[in-house]
Amino acid sequence: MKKYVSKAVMYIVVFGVCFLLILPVLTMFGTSLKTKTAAMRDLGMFPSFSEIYLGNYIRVLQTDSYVRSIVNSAFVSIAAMIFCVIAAAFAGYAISRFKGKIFTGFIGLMLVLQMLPTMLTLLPMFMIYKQLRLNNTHAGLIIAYISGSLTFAIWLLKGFFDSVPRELEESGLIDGCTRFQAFLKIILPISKPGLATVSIFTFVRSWNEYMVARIMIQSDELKTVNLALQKFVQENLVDWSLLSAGAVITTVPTLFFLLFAQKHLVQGLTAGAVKG
Amino acid sequence: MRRNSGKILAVVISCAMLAGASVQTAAAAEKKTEITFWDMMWGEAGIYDVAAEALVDQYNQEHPEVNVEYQSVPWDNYYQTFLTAVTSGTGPDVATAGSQTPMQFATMGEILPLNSIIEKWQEEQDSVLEDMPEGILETNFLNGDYIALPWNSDTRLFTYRTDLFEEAGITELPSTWEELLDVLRTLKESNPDVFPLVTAGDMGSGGAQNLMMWLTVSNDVGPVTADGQSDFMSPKITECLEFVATLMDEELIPEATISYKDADAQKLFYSGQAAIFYGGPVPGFFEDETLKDKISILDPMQGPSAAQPQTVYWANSIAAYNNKDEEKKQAILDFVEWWVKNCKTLFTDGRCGKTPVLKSFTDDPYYDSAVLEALINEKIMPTFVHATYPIQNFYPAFGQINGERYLGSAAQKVLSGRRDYEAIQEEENENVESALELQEE
Amino acid sequence: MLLPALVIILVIQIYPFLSGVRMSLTNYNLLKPGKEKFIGLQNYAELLTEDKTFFGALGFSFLYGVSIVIFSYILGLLIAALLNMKMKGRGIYRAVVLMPWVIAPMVMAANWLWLLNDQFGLINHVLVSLGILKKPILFLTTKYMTRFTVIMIGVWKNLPFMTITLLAGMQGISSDLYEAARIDGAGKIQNFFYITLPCLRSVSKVSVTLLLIWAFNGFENIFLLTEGGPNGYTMVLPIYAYNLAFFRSRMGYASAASVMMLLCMVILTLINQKFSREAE
Repeated sequence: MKKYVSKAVMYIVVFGVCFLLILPVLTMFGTSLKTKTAAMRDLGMFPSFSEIYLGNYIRVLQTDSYVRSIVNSAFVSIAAMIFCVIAAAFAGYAISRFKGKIFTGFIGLMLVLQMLPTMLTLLPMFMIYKQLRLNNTHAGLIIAYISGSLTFAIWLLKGFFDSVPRELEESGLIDGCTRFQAFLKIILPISKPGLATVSIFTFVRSWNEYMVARIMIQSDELKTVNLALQKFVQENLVDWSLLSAGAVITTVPTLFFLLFAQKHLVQGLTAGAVKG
Repeated sequence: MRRNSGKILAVVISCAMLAGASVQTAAAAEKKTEITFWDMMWGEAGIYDVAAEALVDQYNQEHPEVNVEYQSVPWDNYYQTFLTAVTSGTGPDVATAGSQTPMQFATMGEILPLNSIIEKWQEEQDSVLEDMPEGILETNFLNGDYIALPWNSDTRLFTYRTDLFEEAGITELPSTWEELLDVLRTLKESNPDVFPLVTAGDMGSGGAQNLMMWLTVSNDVGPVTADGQSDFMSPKITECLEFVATLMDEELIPEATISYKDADAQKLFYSGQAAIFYGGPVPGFFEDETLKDKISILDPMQGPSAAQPQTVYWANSIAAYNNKDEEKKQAILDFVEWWVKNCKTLFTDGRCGKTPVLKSFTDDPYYDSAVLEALINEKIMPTFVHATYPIQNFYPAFGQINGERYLGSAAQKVLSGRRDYEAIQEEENENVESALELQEE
Repeated sequence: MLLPALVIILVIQIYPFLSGVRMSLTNYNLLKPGKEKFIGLQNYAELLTEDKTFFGALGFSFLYGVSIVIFSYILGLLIAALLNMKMKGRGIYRAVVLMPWVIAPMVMAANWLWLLNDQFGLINHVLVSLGILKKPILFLTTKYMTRFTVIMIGVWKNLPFMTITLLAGMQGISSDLYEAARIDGAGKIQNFFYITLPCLRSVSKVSVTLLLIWAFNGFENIFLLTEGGPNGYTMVLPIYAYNLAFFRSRMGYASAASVMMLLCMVILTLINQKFSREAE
C-alpha cells in the first residue's frame, strides 16, 4: 500500500513539474490553433474544438523558404554537434588523463573568452569573418557555434572521464590494447550519458541561436529557422498566430531529436564494472 | 590516435570552408550591375514580401543591364545588423530601414547623397514634387544633402468603440486633451468594468515613448528646441507629464500600463475590455468580425499649449549607401528614384498599412475598401507633424534621444508613482543635454 | 594533434576579444569613424567615478546571475533526481523538461508576458477565481516584483541545462556505491546526501561556472521581457553596454564597461572554484 502511495505522489510531482515547465509552450500551441484575430480576442489557452484553425500551419509551410530554413538549421546544428562531440571527446580525455599545463591553460583561456557579451564582440567578429570570407556562409555559422559550445563540451566530458576509474583502461592496456583502442572501446561507451548531454547541448544551442545568425546571414536561402521566424514580425505589429505556428513547426524536429538523444542518458557505469 | 583526430578535424573544417567558398563564386558569375537591396518587413509575411519581390522583378525586367537582389532584414535590432555590415564594408547598396537610420549613417559618412535626383526633379518640374506633402523631403535633409527619399509615413492613433461611446451618451468626439479626459471619465462612469483607455507603456516596445511623443507633439513641444537646445524643462512638457499622471490617478488606464507591450493593450481592446486603444494602426481590428462594425478612430487633438491639432508622424525612407564604384553609383540612384515613384503596389498589393508619401497613390480603388487607411488619410494626415518636431529633419542627437527614449523614461517615472515633475524633467534634461553635447564633440 | 582545428577556433574567438579590450582604451565613437584616439584608462576612470547607472546595473547583474544559478541548481537537482527514478514514460518527461530551452526565446518571452498579465493572464485569472488572491498580482510593475519575475523566468529558461547535466552526472555514479550503502542500511535521503551529491561535484562545478557566466552575461532574457525597464528596475550590464554602444555610439566606453564586467566574472569564477576546491 505504502508503495502505491509513494508511486502516486511521484507521478503527481512529475506531472506538476512538467506542466509548470511547459505552461508557455502550451499557450504557444493554443495560439497557433487560432485565427489571427481570435489569437488576440479569445483569452482562453486553447480554442474550443469547433474553432480549431489549421490555416496558420498551412500558411507557414507555404511561406517561401520556411521549409528550407528548417533544413538549413538542421544542417548547421548537426554539423556543429558532430564536430563538437568529437573534438571535445579527445580534448576532454587528454585534459583528464595527461593534466598538462597547456591543456589547462587552453581551457581557462576558452572560458575567459566567453565572458565578453556577444552583443559587443559581434562587430569585430564580423570583421574577421569577412577577412576569412566566412560571412553569409553556413561554414561561418558552424564555426561560430562550435566555438560557442566547445568550452562547455570539453569541460563536461573531462568531468566524466575524471570519474571513470583509471583501472579500467589500465586493464585494457594490459590486455594488449593501444591507448587509442582503450579510449574508443572502454572509456567512450561508459561515458555515453556525457556524450549524449554534450550532443543535446550543442544541438539545441545551435538550433536556437539567433544573434550571430542575424548578423552573419543575409541570403534568404541560407537563413536558419529563428531568422525565418522574424518574417512574421513587423515594426509595430506581430502576427502571433503565424509566429506561434512557425515556432511549433520548428520545435517538432528538436523534440524528436531530444526523444532520441535522451535514450542514451542511461547508466554508463553498471554494477560490477569496477572490480575492487 | 591524436594524429588521426587532427586529420578528421582538418577535413571537416576544409569541407566547411569549401562549402562557403562555392556559394560566393556562384554569385559572382553574372556580368550585370549587381545591386543589393535590403528591405524591412513593412507588412505581413506572404503578402508584403511577395509584392516587394514582384516589384524588384519588374525593375530587373525593365532594366536588363541591372540585377537588383532583394534581401529581407528582420526588424529586431536592425540598427546593429546594418551597423555591423556597413562598418565592415559588406552593407547594402540600397536599403529601407527605421526612420532615423539614414541620418545615423550619414553622420558616419556612409550615405550616398541623392541631391542629383532632387535637382533633376526640380529642373524638369517633375510632378512627383507636387505629389508629396510639404516638408517631408526635408526630414532627410542633413548638412546640405538629401540623404534619403521618404516613401511612407507612419503614425499613432486612437481607435475607439463606437458602441461604447453611444452607450455612455458621448456624441461629440474630443478635440482637446481636456475633452479627451472628460470622455474617458464619462466612459468609466457608464461602464466601470471596461478600461476607458489602453496603451502600451513599457520601455522595450517603446510604449511610454510613443505616448509621450504624441503628447509632446500635440502640445507643440519637443525635447529639443528648433535651434538645438534642450527643451526638457519646458512647462509644456510638465503639462504632458501631468496628463499622464491624471490618466493614472483617476484609473483611466490599467494600473499595470507601465509593463504593457503593444500586444497586451491590443488584447484588451480586441476582447472588449477597453473602449479606446492608443497605438499604431492595427488593420486586424478592422478585419475582425465582432469589432469591425463598431469601431472608428478619434479626431486629431491639441494640448493646452498648442494653437491647432498636431499628430506625430515618422517619415520612412529609402537610402543609398556609399559606393566606390562610380559606374554603379548611377545605377543605384536610378533604382532609388524608380522605387519611390513606382512603389504603389507595396500599399495596394502588399497592404503595408502605412500612409504613402505620394498622395496620388491614394486614388487607387484599393482605398475605397481599406477603411482604416482611408480614415487615416482623411482625418489624421492633414495634421501630421514630424517626430523630430520642432526641428524639421532627423538630427544626429535624435538617434540617442529617441533610441534611449528619454521622453518615455520621464513618462515611466510618472507611471511608477512619482509626481515631482521638476526633478523628473531635470534628470531627463541632463540626459538630453549630454546627448546634444556628445554629438557636438 | 587536435591543435590545428582548435587554433582556428581560438583565433576566431581571440580576435574579437582582444579588439574589445583595445577599444576600451580608446574613445572610439561609431558615428565618427577614423577619429579614434588612445586615451588610456580614461573610460575606466569615468565608469568608476561618474557613472551611477553602471553601478546600479552591476549590482542587479550580480543579483540576477547569482540567484539564477542558486535557484536553477537546487531545482535542477531535485528534478534530475526525480527523473532518475524508474517510471513509465520517463523518456517523454525528460524530453518535456528540456522544452523551455528549445523554443525561440522571442516567442517564449511573449507567452510569459501574456500568462503574467494582470487583466487577462492565466496565472492571475486562476488565482483570483480560486479565491486565493483578491487582487491580481502586478508581476512586472513594481521594483521588487519585476526583479523577482525576470529572475524566475531566467531560472525557467536555464533549468533544462542544469537538469540535464546533473542527470547525466547521476548516470555516471556506479550503482555499486548504492548497493554497498543499501547493505549498510542507508535510506534514500542519506544516499542522496552522502553518495549522489559528492559524486556530482565535478559536473556541478562545470555547470555552475558556465551558468554563472551565461546568466551574468545574459542579454536576451531581460531584453525581450522588459529591456531593462520599467523605470530601469531591471537594467543589467549587458543591456547598459548595448545602449552605450548603439544609442550613444560610444563603442570605446561600452567596451570598457564590458571589460569591467569580465573582471567581475573572473572574480566570481575564482571564488566559485575556491569554494568547490574547499569542498573537496
